[in-house]
Amino acid sequence: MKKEENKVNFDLSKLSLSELIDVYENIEDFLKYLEDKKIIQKDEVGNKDE
Amino acid sequence: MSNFVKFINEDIEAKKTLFSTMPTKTKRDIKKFNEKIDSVTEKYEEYKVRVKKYLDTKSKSYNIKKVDKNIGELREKLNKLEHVKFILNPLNTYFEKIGFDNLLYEISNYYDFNFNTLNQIINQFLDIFELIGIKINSDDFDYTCYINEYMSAFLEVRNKKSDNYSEVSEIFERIYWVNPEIIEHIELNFRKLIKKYEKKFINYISKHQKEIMVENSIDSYEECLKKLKEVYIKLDIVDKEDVYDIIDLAKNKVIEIDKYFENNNFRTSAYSTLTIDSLNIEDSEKTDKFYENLEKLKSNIEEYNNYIKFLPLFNDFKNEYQSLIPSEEKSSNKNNVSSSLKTIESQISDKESKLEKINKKISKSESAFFESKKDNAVKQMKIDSINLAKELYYLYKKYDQECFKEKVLSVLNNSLTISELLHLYYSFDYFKKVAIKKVFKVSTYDEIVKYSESFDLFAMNPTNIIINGVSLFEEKDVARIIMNKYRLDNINLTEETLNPDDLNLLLEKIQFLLRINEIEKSSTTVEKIWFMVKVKEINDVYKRKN
Repeated sequence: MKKEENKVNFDLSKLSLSELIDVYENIEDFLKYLEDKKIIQKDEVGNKDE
Repeated sequence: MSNFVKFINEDIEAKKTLFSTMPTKTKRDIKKFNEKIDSVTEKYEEYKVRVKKYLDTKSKSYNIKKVDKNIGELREKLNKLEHVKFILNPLNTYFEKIGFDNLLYEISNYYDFNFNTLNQIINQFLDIFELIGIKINSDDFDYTCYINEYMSAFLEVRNKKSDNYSEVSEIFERIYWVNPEIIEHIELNFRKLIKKYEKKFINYISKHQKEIMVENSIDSYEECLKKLKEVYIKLDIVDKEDVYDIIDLAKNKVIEIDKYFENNNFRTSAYSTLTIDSLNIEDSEKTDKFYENLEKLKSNIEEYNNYIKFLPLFNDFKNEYQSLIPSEEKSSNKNNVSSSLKTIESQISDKESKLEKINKKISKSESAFFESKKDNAVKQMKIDSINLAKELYYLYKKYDQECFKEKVLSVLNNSLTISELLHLYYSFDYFKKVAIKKVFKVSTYDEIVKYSESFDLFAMNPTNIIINGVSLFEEKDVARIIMNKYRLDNINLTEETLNPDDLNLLLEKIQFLLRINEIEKSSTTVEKIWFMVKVKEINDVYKRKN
């Protein structure tokens, strides 16, 4: 995975203006998704484990 | 699609699949899940920072520098020339040039303002007298015994250069219950003083006229008008919206830049509704001509819009004065008015001398500490003086009306144009405001002033074209004249588009096409502006979050 990420081509200059905006918005949306996805641990979850 | 876009889209999908399959049943699962979320978040925050940095840099590179157009200098020149025009205006007198008509309008509408405003108006009157070198003291306020008492207290505060008029306010309130017409009497007293020092005011204006003509290198009123027009045209060109302004409007959401893209329906429809034969972009000569005509149309529609706005005022004037248009049978109108003016002048003079005598008697009686049986006589004299003042107040109003009528008759004829009528009202602020109040049924002073200012802007515009050829007393379909002219230039105007209620829509459409032309002529593109707008939105959200 690490190897793969290191290969990411960051040459943004090849992107059109609308692609640039799209890519930024996709990243933003994904970050929002990640934030929502994160699980806040509650007591009842812990109890299940026991 | 470039590598980076491809990578991001695929990676996001892969990560989403991964998260949907990761177990989250146990505490340990959740811990692992959250750790993975954190590491991916960290990575994507990095991507975000890098992309944002790039967006910012690219957006900045598209910025267009604001061109310093020296507008300030031109405006200053315009203001100076407008002042020269105002002072040289051959239609009105020292009375209007010095601003007495404006102050008299304000004081006559006292029910619209408070005590502080009244004091400001009185101070403005006194300032004018002082400017001319006339020192007014309490003895000059002798119209009625009450005025003398009030103005003595007022001048005491003014001479001390104090702002504390609380004692004056108490005196005002006490007098008001005995003499509710006190403000009208203050007005009368100022009118009497203006009349007394008339020559000094005339000389002052005449000296000022000579000075400003030398200062501005102007030999005549006509030359001033010519120079004014030149500066006005220059300012119009320089002040025209440029691509920098358009970018600013887009960034601030005043305009929707999406509508400016070539394939946008709004844009396509704007072109098709405003052109008779579709515009061939390849034919630069025709395209340039089209935009040039569109620019002229914009000015014409703005002028027509103003014409429509003040049409009720023009119609009111027409109804009022049409019957007075000089003809062979009615040549005596002017003579009638001048003789009526002389009669009123002599009536005013007689009544004012009577009033002066009564006031002197009241003053003597009060200072002699007469016994109570004489009190009734003094009381009666006070009533008489107030009654006389009331008669004088109406006489002065009548006198003003006759004076205006005389001015109207001096310009009234069958071919009087809207432009000439605008200049007439512009020259007589008092009567312009009276007419505005009557015609537009506006009740507050602020509303009247707003209308009046908008009227003046219209009247003062030397680049008006249509109204110069429209005669007030002749029925003319102005909309049709505009329509026919521009249809010849391939601009599709119809009676519907020139409907008074839809003129702003038409102006917006014209402005829209002119903006497209401005963008196309410039070094930028609609797409670049769209991009700058998007980057600004991103930054606004970023600022709100951080």
